[in-house]
Amino acid sequence: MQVKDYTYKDITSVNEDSTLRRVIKTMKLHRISAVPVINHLGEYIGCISEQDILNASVPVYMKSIYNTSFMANLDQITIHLRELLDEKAIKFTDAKHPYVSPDDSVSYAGDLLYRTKRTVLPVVEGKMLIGLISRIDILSVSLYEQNI
Amino acid sequence: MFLSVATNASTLHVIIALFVFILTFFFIISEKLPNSISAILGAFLVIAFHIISQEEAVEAIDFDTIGLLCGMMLTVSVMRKSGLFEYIAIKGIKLTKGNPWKMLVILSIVTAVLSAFLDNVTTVLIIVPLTFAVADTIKINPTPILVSEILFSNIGGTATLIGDPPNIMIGGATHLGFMDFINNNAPIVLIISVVVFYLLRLIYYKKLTAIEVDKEKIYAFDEKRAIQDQKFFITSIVIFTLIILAFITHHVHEISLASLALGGGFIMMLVTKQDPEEILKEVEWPTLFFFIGLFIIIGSLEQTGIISFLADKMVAVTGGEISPAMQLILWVSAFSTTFINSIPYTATLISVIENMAETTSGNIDPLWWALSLGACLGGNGTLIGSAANIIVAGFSQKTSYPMSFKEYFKVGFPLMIVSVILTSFYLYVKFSL
Repeated sequence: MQVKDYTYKDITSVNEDSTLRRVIKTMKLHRISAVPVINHLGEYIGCISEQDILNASVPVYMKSIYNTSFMANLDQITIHLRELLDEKAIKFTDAKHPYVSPDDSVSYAGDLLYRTKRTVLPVVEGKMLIGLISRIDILSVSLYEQNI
Repeated sequence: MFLSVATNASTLHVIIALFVFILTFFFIISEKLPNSISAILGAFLVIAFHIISQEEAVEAIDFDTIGLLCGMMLTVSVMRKSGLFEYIAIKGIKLTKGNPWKMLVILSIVTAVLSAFLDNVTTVLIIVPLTFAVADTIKINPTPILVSEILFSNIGGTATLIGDPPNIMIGGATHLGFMDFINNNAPIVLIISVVVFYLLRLIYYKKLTAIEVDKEKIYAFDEKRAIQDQKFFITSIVIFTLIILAFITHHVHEISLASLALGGGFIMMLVTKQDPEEILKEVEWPTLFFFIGLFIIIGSLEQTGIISFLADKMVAVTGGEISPAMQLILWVSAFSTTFINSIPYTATLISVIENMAETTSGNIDPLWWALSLGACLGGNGTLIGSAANIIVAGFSQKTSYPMSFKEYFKVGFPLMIVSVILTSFYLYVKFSL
């Protein structure tokens, strides 16, 4: 079983020069928790996940408080995030976001998702993005196959 | 001249011991190496060169200090999870009704009280993020509040035996108990607090109240969300109170503070059902090894006669009189700890004062108070004066309000001088009249 058999062949992605505003809109529209980023040649260069955006917008002090008692309202995040909306996607891109190639085994992809606690992996052939494989794609394998 | 004092050690030993001591100090002050590595490396060298034997090295380690520090670290790391500190802070903030000056006062008082019972670093690690959260919510510059919190973390810590490392070390090395520290240090700490608040008001009041703030926003903070587990919250408060009560009644049961703190820490883990593996990881082992290394290095200085030489000099300068020695120790300690780490400084001075006791007649307790007050309060002089200051400065660099050395110095240094002048009077009235 290879990754290519289970890849969701949608090449939704954002350009490295897109704004964060665009990134969030894209993620919301397609309801994906991470979006691949491509450069002007169309090559895959990394991913932006919800977590990356949260990390950039949640103020430093919040990360040092043990509980949510000091989250007065969403302002503390939204105001910071609003200031970042016109920044370029490349600033938030995680170039080290794990990815798989279509020829990798599904078990490898599953293992990678589990270990790195990611929600989705881009499927990249050479330097070109050909789709995504997410947790649910892996989990749903159990619905179809008897023997793996 | 100098080397002639080293009667029971060879000249070479004196040179090596001094060299190791200076090298260690250099690495600590210049921050070229982590403190624990500098200290343990120094300790290794004095043992390796046979300046001090293995047995003497182990004897030189003050396990009362190490045990007390370790026990308090355990206790506090459990307490932090209870949400008590956030609960107190939010209650306090709501009392201010959103007035920034009152907020400075309340948060500083909370800082002072917490740091009297926890170590200063833990205190600021708790209070500073909360301060940023509040300042960000009502949109004010947190710097004045942060400066005040630094000052009061050091001032508050001065009041008790467990409040600040110099006090823990003095408590470990001497007969002075928990209540002795409160009786001698707390009155002057209160006086200093009042004066410092008055001066801070002159400096910051206009600045803080000039801007219109959205006061209502602070009511969105929810102290109930700080307590995730009511039973855990109550139990940890009860155990902590019992530990402090045991400290206070030390003269009755005569169980050492180190044993009480360690025992208390583990009982805390037991009753709150914490995983010891997880809690033990939160002990600041580098700090403990830093202490261990320093104790061994100072032990080697004692062994070679360097400490008794310094003590003799001190006695000679002050004519063997307690009063001038007390003032000298106070001022030298305050200025030294303004720039260098108070832990190695205090470790050295403890040893010197113990040696002075042998040649000075009369009660040397005033010297301990001078060392304690000087070493604790001196930390307020600069942004690098104590570990708590460094933590606050470091944290602020990651935010949009980075605190500069100069910005702090302009307020902190004069206030430190004022507090030491007050202390000087206090000690004079108490012990010289």
